[in-house]
Amino acid sequence: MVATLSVVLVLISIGTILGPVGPVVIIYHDDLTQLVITPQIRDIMNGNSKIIPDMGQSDNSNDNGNSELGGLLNPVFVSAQIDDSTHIFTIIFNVTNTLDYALTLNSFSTDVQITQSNYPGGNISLSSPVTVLAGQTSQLNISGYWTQDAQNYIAKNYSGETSMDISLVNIAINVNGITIHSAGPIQVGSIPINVER
Amino acid sequence: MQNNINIIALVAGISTLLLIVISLFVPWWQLAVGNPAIATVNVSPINLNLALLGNSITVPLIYALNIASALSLASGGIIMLIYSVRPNKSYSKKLLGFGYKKPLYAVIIFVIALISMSALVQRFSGFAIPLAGSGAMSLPEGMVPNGANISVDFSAGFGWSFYFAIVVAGLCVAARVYQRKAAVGTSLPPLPQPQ
Repeated sequence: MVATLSVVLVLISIGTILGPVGPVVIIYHDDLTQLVITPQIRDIMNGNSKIIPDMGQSDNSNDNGNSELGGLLNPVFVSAQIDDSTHIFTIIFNVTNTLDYALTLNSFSTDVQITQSNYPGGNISLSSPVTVLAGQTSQLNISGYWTQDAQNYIAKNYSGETSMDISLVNIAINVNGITIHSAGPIQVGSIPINVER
Repeated sequence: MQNNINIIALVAGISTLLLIVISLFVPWWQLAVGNPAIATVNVSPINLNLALLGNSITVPLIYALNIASALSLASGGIIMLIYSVRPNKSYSKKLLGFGYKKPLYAVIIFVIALISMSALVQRFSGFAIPLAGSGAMSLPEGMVPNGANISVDFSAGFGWSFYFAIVVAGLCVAARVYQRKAAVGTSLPPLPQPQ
């Protein structure tokens, strides 16, 4: 009786392991690596997964020249307000989340400098955190300021010019707790200026 | 009067079966990456749930091992219940020897696997994943563009189900110890006869 029971218990021990693992090994016997590295995981490792967006490229032709925020949110310029007396400006973007997952832009800030001379111009930051639900569009408010020194510098050196190139430095962006710091500079192109002679 | 039911083994058996159900829904260990989380890893011997940007990823081998763990624990729990109502039979010790180890092994293997996984991830990807706590981990230099620094918020920790598993393992060991003491108590040498 005891001997029989011992055999039964050993068979149970073996069966509980081999029962589930055996069929899986048989199913994937042609390529055992798929037991651990599924096609889904392989796509992620190779960087061509549909789950994770392509961070470096954009095929959005309607972005009006705005760069994407890490490939996750596509900002489209809506409007801007500039207060010359306080040197403060506010820019409103519509951002579209291209993922099937809600994204929260927790923070964004960067210093702005004049590309040609690296002269500091001011700062830009996100007014308040924005959550964009999957596949939807939300409004993003960016506010910033330029310094009096920068204004004097531009007046002195860009008199008669209609535009100047600017760059972003000390960039910090936080999306869903992923914080990207970059010392820069990242050239963002030219902005229109109106310097009276 | 001899007790016909081993209460500790009975509780241990029921707790083992309860642990299986709990472990399906409450992870023993959880890792959340991002704030709000973009990736979550919920781990228990019965269930491993890996979700990235809302997409669940299933690893066939781990899925099979989860089922094996569930069957192993279930067999252990059932055998413990059988033992608890038949503690004095000739085969009872065999039943107990089989049943009490299952939750204990589950806890030990889980802890070893978790520590190994953390070490392997750090070895091959450079990420240092702590087993408990929250903070920010930086991506290794080789994984980020020049001049950039990327850090990711995370939180990790053991769930109450893990501590419940330790209690269940403790109960099973207690049932084994109780059986041994009971066996010693019943096999005392006969008292010497008065001259």
